[in-house]
Amino acid sequence: MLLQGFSMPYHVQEPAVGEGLLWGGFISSLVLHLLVLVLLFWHSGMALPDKVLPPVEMVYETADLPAHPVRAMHKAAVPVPPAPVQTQTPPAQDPLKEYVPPLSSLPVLPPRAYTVSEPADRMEKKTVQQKMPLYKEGSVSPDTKLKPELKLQNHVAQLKDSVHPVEKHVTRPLLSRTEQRHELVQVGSHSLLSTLASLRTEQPQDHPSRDVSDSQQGGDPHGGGSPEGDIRALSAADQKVIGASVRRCYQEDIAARDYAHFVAHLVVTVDASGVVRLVRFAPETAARMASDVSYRALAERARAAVLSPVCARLPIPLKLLGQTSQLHFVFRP
Amino acid sequence: MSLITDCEAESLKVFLSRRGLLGGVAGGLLAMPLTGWATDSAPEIIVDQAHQVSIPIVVPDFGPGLGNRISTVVSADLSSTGLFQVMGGEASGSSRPDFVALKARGVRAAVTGTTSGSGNVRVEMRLWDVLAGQQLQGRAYTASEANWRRIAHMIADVIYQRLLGEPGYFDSRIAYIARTGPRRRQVTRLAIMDQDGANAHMLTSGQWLTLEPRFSPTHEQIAFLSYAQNRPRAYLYDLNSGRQFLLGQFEGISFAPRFSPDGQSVILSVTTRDGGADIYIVDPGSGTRHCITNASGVIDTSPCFSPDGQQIVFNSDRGGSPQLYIMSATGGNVRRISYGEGHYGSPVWSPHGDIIAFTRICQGRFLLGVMNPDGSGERILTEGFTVESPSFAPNGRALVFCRQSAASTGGVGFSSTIAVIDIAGFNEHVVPTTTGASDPSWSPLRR
Repeated sequence: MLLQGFSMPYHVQEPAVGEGLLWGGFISSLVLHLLVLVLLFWHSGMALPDKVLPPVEMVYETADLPAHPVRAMHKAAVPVPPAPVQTQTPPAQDPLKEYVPPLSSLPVLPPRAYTVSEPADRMEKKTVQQKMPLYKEGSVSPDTKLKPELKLQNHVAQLKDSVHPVEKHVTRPLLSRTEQRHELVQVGSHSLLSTLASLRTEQPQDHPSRDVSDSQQGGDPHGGGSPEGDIRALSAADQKVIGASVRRCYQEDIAARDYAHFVAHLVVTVDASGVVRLVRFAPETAARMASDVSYRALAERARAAVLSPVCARLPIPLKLLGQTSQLHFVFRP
Repeated sequence: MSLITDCEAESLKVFLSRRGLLGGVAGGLLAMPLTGWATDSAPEIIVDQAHQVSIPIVVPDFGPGLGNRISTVVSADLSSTGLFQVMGGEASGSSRPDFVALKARGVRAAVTGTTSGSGNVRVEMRLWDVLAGQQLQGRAYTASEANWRRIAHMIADVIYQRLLGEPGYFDSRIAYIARTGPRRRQVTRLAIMDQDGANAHMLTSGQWLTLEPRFSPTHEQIAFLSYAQNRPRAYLYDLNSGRQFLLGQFEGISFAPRFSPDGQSVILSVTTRDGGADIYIVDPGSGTRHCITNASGVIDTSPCFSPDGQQIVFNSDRGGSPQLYIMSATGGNVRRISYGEGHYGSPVWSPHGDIIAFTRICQGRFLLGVMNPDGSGERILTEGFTVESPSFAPNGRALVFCRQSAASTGGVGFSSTIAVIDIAGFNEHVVPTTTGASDPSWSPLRR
């Protein structure tokens, strides 16, 4: 309401009749001027209408007679040079290059039909080819562990710690309304839709568009791009809910010596779905951790609270999700 | 013909200028909170009211035989604090544990370790943060196989300190009085054991009544009261040589000895001719002594230095009943700190200097409690038929004390045990001893 009031500063309560007329005239004048400007800009590509000239004598050209310039009623400042002699010769053809007709001459092919095969009456046996066998063929000796490869794979996989680079966890954006699901890119096709599809595949969008409208150019103030999901818009109530959610996992040695004065600041990176991915300590907290082992132990348990699988998914409102963001946590007794 | 008259134009001019001024002021006022909203600062989320929960930690076997024994001792040490929830797990040697599986179990930390060698063994341990997926600590110990228990205690200390930020107390000992025989004719001997009750050794023969052992904070010495030659006096026992030394020559009975924080002097009580007792400070090396209390007919006893050596807490009946008092190390500025119902005694200062443990007798019951040095914040930790002789662990997080049960006719049912309780009053457990035990005294951490 405040914003609306701010954008419309002139709320006329009960204008007088004369003032109303004045305002009406002013506004209509403004509108007319704007229309004229719009028309001018719109038709800027069109040639200005020529002046109404008197009819001219038509002179038809023949093969024997040289071309004569059209006689105009108004004499030109500079005489027009004679027209060059044109010969009717065919364009030269490079035998090495294939003649490519212009684009407009090709017919526009319709999109390929997407056929769905009817279900078969009987399931056909298909062999499934595995790239990597789960176990080696051969006799299993008592000393052989049954799943060494799996275990190794698990160990290799588990080497990825819970701290991931932010870029790897950006979720795919929602499909735009202009995307055509069943359109296939045709190789060699020069249709507009094919071109757009190929561009999309070559340059996939990995984040929502951040384009916003420019009100100075007449755009809708609330239009343009996808919703930002700005987490900075978290309300105080939302923050309390998130704090209460993490509190479930907040465990400390409350009998520790300096616990009564403990405060730790953590910067938490949350992915687009609201799951905690990265936690780092604020500079002042990290500095104190380096010098105070008891404080470090308390701070690490605070970090464990927000990284806990039970509490890592934060109750962030849906409208604020959609992008990676950072939250500032303050842990205290 | 103009659309408006001059008067209307004049009024319009005023209206527009006034409206423009008001609009500008209103816009400026409204823009102030909007600029606050438009800042780039991240929202701040407060998380408070943490709750005390044991840290789930996996301690697998460090290997067969010796490795299994070491991991058993480590698990027992950590479990005894009440601050860890020790869980078993698959032995993974020195490789990284399966963090995903451990996270699914709700584990917070994991230990891996290996043992190798015989005669001289090498023990390696690594402590992992399961949630962060990183190693927190890694140590290797090489010692004779006979010291495997000490290695286990040191590993437990490393884990305790890394996860809690405070030094552990597992690699320490407890001096106590071993009691055997019938209750009315008990044989008492000075003894020493590991803090978990293992490796108990008798230091004296039991020929004479022995009481009140107190560990030196800096040396391998124990001060104690002995009725040798039927004369109760304070003695000094050297653990390295096994020899005993008399602590000062006094006319009266010297008792309740306790070392100063630097281990260079001993403070004790000596009875006086008028039936009272005064407090003395004795230098064991030179034998010099000086009296710091001399109230006539007053019993001043059970003195204990503060960790900084500047103050002394002691028990005195100068107010008419046994209460706790604090004075400066030179004997001045005496002030009372206990005001509860009953009698107070056996005060001992925490290594951190923040609390004083005591024994209180009230309505026929013994209470064990702690209070601040100014006497405020009194809390009772436990009670029983007899609970007495509190002594702090090296890190000040736990208290060892003596608990005795009532005896029925003929002394049947009487028991005297040593128990440990944390300063919050939780996790009380008995230290297993081969005999009856009393008068415990916790040693400093072994070097």
